[in-house]
Amino acid sequence: MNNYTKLIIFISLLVFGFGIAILYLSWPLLTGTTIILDTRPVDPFDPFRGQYMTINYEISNVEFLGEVNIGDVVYVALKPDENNVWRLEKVSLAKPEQGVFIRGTVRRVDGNNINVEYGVEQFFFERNADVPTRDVMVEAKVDSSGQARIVNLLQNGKPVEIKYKKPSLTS
Amino acid sequence: MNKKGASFGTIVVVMGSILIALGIAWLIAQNWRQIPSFLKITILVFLTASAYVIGVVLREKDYPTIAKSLFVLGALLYTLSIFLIAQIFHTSTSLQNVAWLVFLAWMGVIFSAYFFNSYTTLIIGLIEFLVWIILQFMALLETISQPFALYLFLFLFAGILFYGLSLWHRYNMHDFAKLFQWWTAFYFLLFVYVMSFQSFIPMMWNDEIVMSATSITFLVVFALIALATTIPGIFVSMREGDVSGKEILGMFIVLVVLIGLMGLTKVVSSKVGVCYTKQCYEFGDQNSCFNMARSLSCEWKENSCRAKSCYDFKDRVSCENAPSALRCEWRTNGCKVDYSRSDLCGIYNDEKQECVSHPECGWRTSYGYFRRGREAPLILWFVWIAVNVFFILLILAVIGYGTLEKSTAIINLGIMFFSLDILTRYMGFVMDFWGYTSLAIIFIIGGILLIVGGWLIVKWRKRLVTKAKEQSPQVRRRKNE
Repeated sequence: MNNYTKLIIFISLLVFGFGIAILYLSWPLLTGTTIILDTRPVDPFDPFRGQYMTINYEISNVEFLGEVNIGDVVYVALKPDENNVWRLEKVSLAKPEQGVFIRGTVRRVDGNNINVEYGVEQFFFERNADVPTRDVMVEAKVDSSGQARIVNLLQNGKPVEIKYKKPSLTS
Repeated sequence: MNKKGASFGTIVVVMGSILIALGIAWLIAQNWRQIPSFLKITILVFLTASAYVIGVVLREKDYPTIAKSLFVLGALLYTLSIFLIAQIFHTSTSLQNVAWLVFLAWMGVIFSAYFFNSYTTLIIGLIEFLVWIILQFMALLETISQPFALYLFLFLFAGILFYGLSLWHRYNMHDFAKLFQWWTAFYFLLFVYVMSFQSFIPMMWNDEIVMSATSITFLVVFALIALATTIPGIFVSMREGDVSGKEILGMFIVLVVLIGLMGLTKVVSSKVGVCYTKQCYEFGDQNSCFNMARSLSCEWKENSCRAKSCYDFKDRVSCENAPSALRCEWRTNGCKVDYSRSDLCGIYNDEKQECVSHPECGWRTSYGYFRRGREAPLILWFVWIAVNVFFILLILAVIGYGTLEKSTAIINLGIMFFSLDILTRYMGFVMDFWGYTSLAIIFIIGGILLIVGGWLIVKWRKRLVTKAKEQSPQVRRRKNE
């Protein structure tokens, strides 16, 4: 096999690999149900990926009666309240057969209270951004397997307006 | 690391590639909102593919040095693309998820290294592999504050794996055979170099090992993979005469001594440590908090043990009578902390039994950040000397091995570490024995040693490299066939 043939194979694999990854990550955005979740955020920095906000949800700490261990997968059934904010309905170890639910992994067990991570605990934004941290809600999409992706941050029901400092060469 | 290996030109162009990749990484970190996500991904995938396309074209046009740098750039851009895509989709920043991303990165980079036969890319892949192994292991641990020795064991298994891969590549007469030989030597030298620091030794066993079943499984499986690669590798390469019995014996001795030294450092853990004054919040119940009321000025408030500070003493008399642990001193502007006074428990440093017998004192197996080598207990000196003697022997063994294998790259590597060791220990002595007269003497002696040593090293290196100019055993075997 000469170098050019190898190159064509490699580029095809590269594009195919990235395509599959993007499709997998986009799947909840393409097929999911839109939900709005209540939050309590803070803001650290990821050396690999830049500035992001860690989002602590209302459903991050839930009560669970039953035996559960760190690392277990749990399914949190959700239902909207009168303001269309999706609240906890039920936590179970088995996948619900109907309704909207989000899949999470148990990170901490403290008696009957469990801390659950849903994989949507971070929102990335540009450096030098002024992001509001109060009364923020998250608009997410959740697919039929319970996998969720963030769509937007909301404040007072509208997408959050992130203010940025004017970019400069030294920023 | 063949004869066409790491020339000055290669190093310069590879550094250029790294700079370009760093620039792009910084732009990604800035998370440019002006560019739509889809376009960001397209740009990065296009840049990655372009780097490989230009690399292949330049290699075909007989510009191998610049081609190498473009393969490196391609590998780095591929890694960055993975993190950019993760950023765009706001994926989890948990250790496990980052480990997955690094896993995808090293798999792709190592694949491209073999596919395009690019050894510089392979080095990037191997570094990413080491990053992954540590991230993955940490993700599986219940708590990451474990003794360093545990992580060192993981790295030791990685070293065994590298050696096994080196044997298989030699058996298959693969183009990367020499690179793996060089990489294994580099890896073990670096491993012992890290261990050779006096301040590192007490930290080796600074905590109790707390491991979950999954992390133990990971460690055991990784060790088994390393052994399953190396042991058959020994048999097949010895059968074909690619490797001598002496080399295998030497490697075995290195591993046994390393494990022995890692065990020896455990002796230090109970002898060397910092005795610190506990903070009130460390007393979780009302009784123990109340017991510390006098000595540490703790008080039970709102279900937790809290400390009074010097600022709470409003007049001179109460300030001067405050518990000594607070180190209060009355000054014109009130009751302040006198940081020049030594910590209450500091007198029990390196005396674990004495330290833990005082309820207000806590023990931390560590050398402490501000202590000097000259204050180190005898046991630490003993272990440190043992590690350093082994380090010197290993360097000499690597140089000897390089001469036997007629590999200038391995000889240069050994000499580089020899110089690095001299420089590091010299700096260490300067820091430990800091003082006007002694420092002046150390500088003068050190200067003379470095000049004479430098001259001798260059002379030595030239002699060894000249000796090693002949062809390697692999090439001889290939010719015979």
